[in-house]
Order: sequence, then C-alpha cells, then structure tokens
Amino acid sequence: MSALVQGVSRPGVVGPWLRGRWRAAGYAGMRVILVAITLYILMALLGPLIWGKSPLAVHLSDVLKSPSGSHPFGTDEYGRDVLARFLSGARLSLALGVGAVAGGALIGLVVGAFIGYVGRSIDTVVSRALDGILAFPALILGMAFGLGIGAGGLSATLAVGIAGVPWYARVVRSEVLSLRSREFIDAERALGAKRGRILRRHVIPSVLGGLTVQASLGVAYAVLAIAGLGFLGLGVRPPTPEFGAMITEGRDYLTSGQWWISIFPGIGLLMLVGLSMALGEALRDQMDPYGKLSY
Amino acid sequence: MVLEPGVEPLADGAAQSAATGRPVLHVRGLEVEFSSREGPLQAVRGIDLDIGVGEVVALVGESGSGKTVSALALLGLLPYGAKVRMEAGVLAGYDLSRLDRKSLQEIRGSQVGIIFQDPLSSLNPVQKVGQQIREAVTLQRGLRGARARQAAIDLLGQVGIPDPARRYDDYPHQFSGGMRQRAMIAIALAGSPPLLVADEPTTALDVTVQAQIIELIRRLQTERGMGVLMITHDLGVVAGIADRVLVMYGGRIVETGPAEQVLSRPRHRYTLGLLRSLPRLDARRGGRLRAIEGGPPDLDAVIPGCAFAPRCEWSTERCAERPALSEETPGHAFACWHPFEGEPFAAATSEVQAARTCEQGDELLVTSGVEVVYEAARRLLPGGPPPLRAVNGVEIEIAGGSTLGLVGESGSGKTTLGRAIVRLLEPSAGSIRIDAREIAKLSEGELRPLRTDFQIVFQDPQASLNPRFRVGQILNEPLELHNLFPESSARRARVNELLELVGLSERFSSRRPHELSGGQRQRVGIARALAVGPKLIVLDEAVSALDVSVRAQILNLLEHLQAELGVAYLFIAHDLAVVRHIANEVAVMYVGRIVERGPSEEIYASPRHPYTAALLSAVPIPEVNRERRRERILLPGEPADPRRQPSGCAFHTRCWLRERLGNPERCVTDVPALAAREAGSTHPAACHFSDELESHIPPGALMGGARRSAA
Repeated sequence: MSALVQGVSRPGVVGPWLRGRWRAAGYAGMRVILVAITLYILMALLGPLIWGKSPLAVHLSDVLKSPSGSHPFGTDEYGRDVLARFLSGARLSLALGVGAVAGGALIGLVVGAFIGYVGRSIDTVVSRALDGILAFPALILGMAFGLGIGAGGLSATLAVGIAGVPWYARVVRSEVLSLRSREFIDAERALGAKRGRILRRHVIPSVLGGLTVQASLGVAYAVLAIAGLGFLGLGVRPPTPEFGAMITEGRDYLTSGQWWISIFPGIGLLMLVGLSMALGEALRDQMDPYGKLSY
Repeated sequence: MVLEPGVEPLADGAAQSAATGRPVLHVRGLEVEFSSREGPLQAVRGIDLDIGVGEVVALVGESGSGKTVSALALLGLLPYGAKVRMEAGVLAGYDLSRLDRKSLQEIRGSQVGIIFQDPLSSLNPVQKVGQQIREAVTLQRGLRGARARQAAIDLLGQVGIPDPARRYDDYPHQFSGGMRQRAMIAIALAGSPPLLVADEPTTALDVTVQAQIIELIRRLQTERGMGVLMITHDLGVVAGIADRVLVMYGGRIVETGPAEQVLSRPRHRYTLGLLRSLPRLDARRGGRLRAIEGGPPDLDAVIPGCAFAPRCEWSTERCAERPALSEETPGHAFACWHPFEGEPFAAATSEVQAARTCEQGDELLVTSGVEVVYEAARRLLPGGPPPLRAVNGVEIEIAGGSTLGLVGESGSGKTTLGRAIVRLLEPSAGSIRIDAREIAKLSEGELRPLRTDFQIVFQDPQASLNPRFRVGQILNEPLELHNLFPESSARRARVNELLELVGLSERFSSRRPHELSGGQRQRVGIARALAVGPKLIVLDEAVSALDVSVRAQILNLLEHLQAELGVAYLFIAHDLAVVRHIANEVAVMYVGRIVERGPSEEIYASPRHPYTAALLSAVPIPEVNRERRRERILLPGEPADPRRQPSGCAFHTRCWLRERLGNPERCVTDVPALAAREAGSTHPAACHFSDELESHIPPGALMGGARRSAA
C-alpha cells in the first residue's frame, strides 16, 4: 500500500511550459557560448590557411585601401592585408593568452595546494612572497621582463603568466584550507592515506572546478594584458601581427579616416575577451558540487 | 512608529485557550510552499495554532516537519520565493494575513520577540553587545542617550548576566554561548512583546547551559505573562516548560494537547514512536530502542492519506485516506485511524531484555598520561595567550568488544582525546596502547599498517563523505588503501557486504552522498570505518546531528554490529541519556581531565563527582510531572577556559558541593587525584569530598536507575 504518490504532475506556481523554456534557455546559453568559442578557435587555427594571403607581404601599391572585395578588412600603411593580419593575430593572441593562463594556473595550482595543505611557516612565507608578486601589475612585470630578456612575445607571456600565479594560488589555497578541515579528509587520514594521495584524489579534484572558472575568466585578462604590452611596444614585435600591436599601428590613422586598421583587431580582441568571460561565468553557474538548489 | 490596528481577534478563536483568555496568536489553515527546479515544495500543509496570554506552546517535530518554517512564515521572515497562505492569522490584534512586509517588520520586536538556535550568528560580531540591545530599546521604546543605555543594562541584568554594567561594553566573542543566548533574549524582550518565539533556543548549548536558559525563559514568561511559542525537537525540554504541545509531521499537526497528556498518554502513532525512540535516564537500561523505521516524507511528495502511514507498523488500507485532527477529550486532538491506547512504556519495559552481555575481551585500549597541548601561534612580539592544554593527563581503558562512553560539556577536550587516540592529532605526551602496541610516538609511516585496528566515525555525516565520490568508491577507498582485496571483483563484493552490514542495499553503491538522507550517510560513514576490520571505533558525537527517530536506528545498528563483530567503541557524546543507553563504562571529562569513571550503572545511579551529579541533574526527562517536580542542581556559568586552568581542582569555580561544604580551601590548593574509595574498586573519582557527595544530592535530582520514584 502506498500512501505517498510521487511524480504526479503538480500544479506549479510557474507553469511547466515556462519552466521548461527557462531551463532550456540556461542550457542554450551555455551551448551558444561553446559554439561561439569553437568557431573562434577554428577561425584562429584554420582562418589563415583558408584566406591564404600572407599577413607580412608588403604591397606598396595597395597602401591604406578601404575594405573591398579583394581586401575585406582593407590594407594598412604598408599595403598588408588587414584580414590576413587579423586572422593571424587572433591565432597569436589566443595562443599567448591561453598559454600564459595555463602556465600560471598550473603553477598556481601546485603552489596553492601545497601551501594550503602543508600550512605552518611554509604557508606564511610563500603567501607573503605571492603577495609580493601581486604588488606588481602584469604591465609593470612585463616592462621588467622586457628590459631583462628583451621585449617580445615570450617576455610578455611570461610576465602575464607569472602575474597570474598568485591569483590562482590564492583561490586554490583558500579552497584547500576549507577542505583540509572537512571531515572526509580526516577520515582519509585515519585510514592511513598518504599526503600525496589525499592531495591527488580528494583535494585537487575538488579544487579544479573553481580553478577552471578562474582560469577561463583569466584568459580575458591575459589577452588584454598581452595586447596592452603589445600596444606599448613591449610585447610581440612588429611586423608579427598581434592585436595590441596592430591597434597601435593603426592608431594614427583613426583620425585621418582609415579606421579599419585599428577597429578590426579591436573587435577581434573584444570578442575573445567577451567569450572567455562568458565561458567563465557560465561554468561558475554550472559548477554546483551538490547538484541541488538550496532554498 | 504608530501601527494601524488590524481586525480584532476572532471571538471563538479562544476556545482552546479558554483557561488563559484571548489568544495572543490565532492562526487557521497556514500553508507554506517553496518553488524549486523540481517543482513546488510544500513545507507546511495547513496548520492551526493558538497561543493564549501567558501560555507556553511547544511545536515539536523532526527536521523537515515544517515547524521552523511555520513560525518564520507567521513572522514574515521567509525568503521572497516562499508562498504563504492562511485562512486567518491574528497576532495581538493585528491581522497577519493582510499585513505587508513593512508592517510585519514593525510588529516584530513590538508584538513578538524572536530568538534563534545559533546565538553567535544572530549577533553582530563587530558591535558591542550592549549597543545591540540598546538599539532594540531605542527602536521599541523610543529611549535615547543615557536612559537607553540604562534600560539596556537593566535588560542584561534581567536575563541573568552578572555585572551587566561592565559587560555592556563587551563584544559577542567575549561572551560564552549561553551568555550570547541570554543577550539575544534581552534583545527579543526589549519591546516587551506579548509573544516570544523561540526556535530551538537550546539545541546548540550544553546540557548544563540548556537548563539555565530554560529556567530563564520560564522565569521571564511567568514574570511578564508572555505567550511563548517554543520550537524544539527535544521532548525533555517540552516536558520542562510547555503547557501545550503540537506535534508536527509532514507539514501537518498530527497531535495536540496538554503537554502532560501528550507525553504520558500519546494517541498518535508518531508521537508514540518519538517517545519510544528516546533513550531515557529514567527508564531501565538495556534492550533495543524501538526506533521508527524509514525517514520523513519528501517535501515534494503528494500525500493524499496519513503522512506517517509508510513508516507506521499499524497502517491499514484506511490510512490511504487522511484522518482529520479530531478531539477526543477536550483539548487533546489527534489525526490517526488507529490511535494508541495505554501506557507508552508499559510495552517497552516488558520487552526489555537482560542487559547486554558482551563478550568482553582483554584490555584493548590503554592510555596513560595522555596530553594534547596546543601552543599559541608564534608571534613577532613576546607575550600572547598561554598554551592550551586540551587534554591534560588522561587515563582510560576499553576492553575488547565493549563500549566506553566519554561525556562532558563542549570544551572539555573529549573530541581532542578521541582524535589523539586514532592519531589524527599527535599527543604531546603520554602513552596510547592499542592491542598492547604503543602508538603514541610512532611516525605516520610506521602507523599506516596499524591503522586497520582503529577507526573513527564523525559527527557530521555530510562533511565526512567526499561529495564527488559515489558510495561504492567511498567504501572501496579503504580496501584499496590497505590492499585488502587485490582483485576488483572481490572488492566489489566486499563493498556490497559492508552495505548490507549497515542496513543499506547494493543499489546505494552508485549513489552520491547528497542523494542520501542524514541517517543513510551516517551508515555509510560507519561502513567505511568497518571496511578495514577495526578492533576499536571512535564514535565522535556520531549520533548527535541525527533526528530522534533516526538516532535510535543508528544506535540499534551500532549495538548490532558490536554483537556481530566484537568491535569496541569509544563513544564520545554530550547526551548523557544516549551514553547510558549504549555504554558499559563511562568516563566523565572536565577541562582536559577525567574526573570520574566507572561502570555505567554505578555512574548514573550514584555518581561520586559533583560535576557528574550536576550533568545528570540537568538532563531533561520527557515526563511533565516528574520533570517539573524535580529539584535541580543548576551549575552556574560555563566550563573554565582550558588556557587559564583554575588552581587545584579545576571544577572548584563552579562546584555546588564546595559551596555546601563551606568552601574548603583544599579544593583551591590541591589537585585531587582520580582515586577509588577502596582498593580494587572500578569507580574512581577526582574529588576531595566524593564520599560526602551522596548525602548532599537532592532527592530525585538524578533520575538514574529504573524509575525509582515512580510506582
């Protein structure tokens, strides 16, 4: 005999139709972002091959041409095709931005998990050192690296990557600290698990969610910072196409009417930053380790 | 602020509280619904509630029964998503069903005071306690300046804070838990409201402090003629304070009546089940608890019939139809087709088996001189707090296959001791021998293979299971760690065996912790501890976070496992009735030291330390007449700070016996040794005057032994 009838359709305050749409919209939002990111990556990877024009070839006969059929994004002061430079620039910005974040996040994960779990004086010393790095913004660090090892894509990426380490390390450390006092970690210790195993199997998987969110937001900042260094002439060196450097090159022509040289790379940068932020926020909404809502 | 009076209270609403005049609170047909992704959740499914002037009404039920939600709904304190409906709702002349949030806000404080379970999170940590009370005084009485301050100090004094003028300037962290709850009560009373709503006001407090707070609420209620709505899950608290009881289950009231009648002659099968699942200090020891099987209904379930039927032994076809709440005798109503008749414990006592005869082996755990000292974090400048001696020279023994109960107030060091024994903490000194092997000084590596001998189960079953793992993985983990079954198929079989052992079926192995109920999670926690075949399990408040009916299930399971597997338990708990039920031997801890230890029956029947006697006397009994007639040993204050241990006997600052003996100097100068009355006795106590204790204990204060005063 069953007195409880479950799963019977219930008259809701929000109708099932509306609720279904809402949920679908939530999933759809994530899908739209993923599709857009895939398209952007495909464009960066395959675009230069498909378009075929060299981003570096100088055509002094085609200087400063406005957008047209043969040059959809126009040409710059040396007659180079802006679309070809745009596509290569997207590839480079994406690669450097993701590279800087991946490096920074990985180091941050290891450092943060270690100091968070071990604690004591190691934590105090390393945390203060990380605070020290935090005191230098990516741009300042980039300048220092530029002076030290010569300005270029490598020094800019290194600077941005290292500037990111404290952020990731702090996120990981604080999550590890709260995990460490959780009883399931104690239970594991009572069972005799080694420190490395606890970190590997229990701590790091629990931390990865938060780190992924932080990292996908971080790509946006990294791309911007690398472009900023490029804009200041401390990043990727001309003539290599990179969004920041391209915006600098076209800057002087904005007032004289040749807007396309700066605006297209600007739009490319904006899209990349926007997508990476959207992905980060969508991931954060999806990451709910308990899978249920609390009211 | 001026309130527009709403409608006058309905004339016939006072029927139930005729004896006390017009009701302060009159509610009919209250329903609360939340919306969630999975559909609407019905937390309250239609309840009626009346509280008369000067009447104390207890709303009783397990978690999820809707008792807190009902109260919050009436006060307009639910989040915006909640839908509250009622046919009628009148609070002190104001029509609740017509008031908007703004007006409800004005009613709170002036017409109804509220205190919550957790006094720490209810007070603002960065504002002085006095200022927070003064703010309420200013808001409610319009007093300002020195007069507001004086009124706040008066209130602090009324709620029993010693030296209120000085404590006015303290911050909440300088107050102990009990004092914070007193401060909350002072804030709630600032507007002299005719109704006080207390939501589990003593659940987070120690039993000694609980007794103080209940006493305080009772005194204030009588002095001011306030109505009180007391929300609690503790039937002992109900017996001590309530005039009337409402028992809630599945969002509805299933039984209501005078506290005395409901507790002594329950009619609804759920009320009966609750009473019988309760280990009691005044019942004979031994035998299984009569737990209610299963768990409460989900909030999203559609319940056409009696919500309790799926868990009820007596349910029939008829229970598919919902029984109405109908009165049999005036004032006592219940909603049950097959009401219980008779004495709730008559049946239980006849079923009592002979006290459990465990096959006790040799001494399994022997500790001596165990100390755990936390050094204060090193600072740049000299000074800082002195080291904290959480455990200060403890000697305990547990025989194989038996249970030692470790009791004490919070801060007594019992959890620290438990953790040191399973070496989650490193003891600073002393020896811990498990199965004749010294483990106190072993390195982590040397200890690893020995860890199969001793395991621990934690208080919070949610926090003790990794939310990302499935139950099967959680139970596989210990097997893999100790390479107990090299083949994965053998490990799977063992996991299923473990699940069966703790009363769960195989299909649980693919679930994740958040899909389980609290009781099921704790079963998984126990199964994990059992996986490596330990000889000793430390149960650190393992049943404290569970509901009464589920707690009884787990206690029965633990007893069953001990009989089956011969595992020994160190059962750490603050609930003395639960410890009495399960433990063969009991050790009482105070500020890092064992002050008394011995066989369970002896400790409860004739304690030899004044602290034990006071603890026992503070435990409430769910029987109105005896609970109210009992003379109590009320302990003043709270445990001494282990950083600043009092000289001599650490208990002398709170000792009621010392006061009766005329404050002998010896208690302040000499540390009493844990000594038995005569050589060979198994019941030592650390008190200089333990022989004089018995003659000073008020009769009936302890309630130990088998219902001595009854019959």
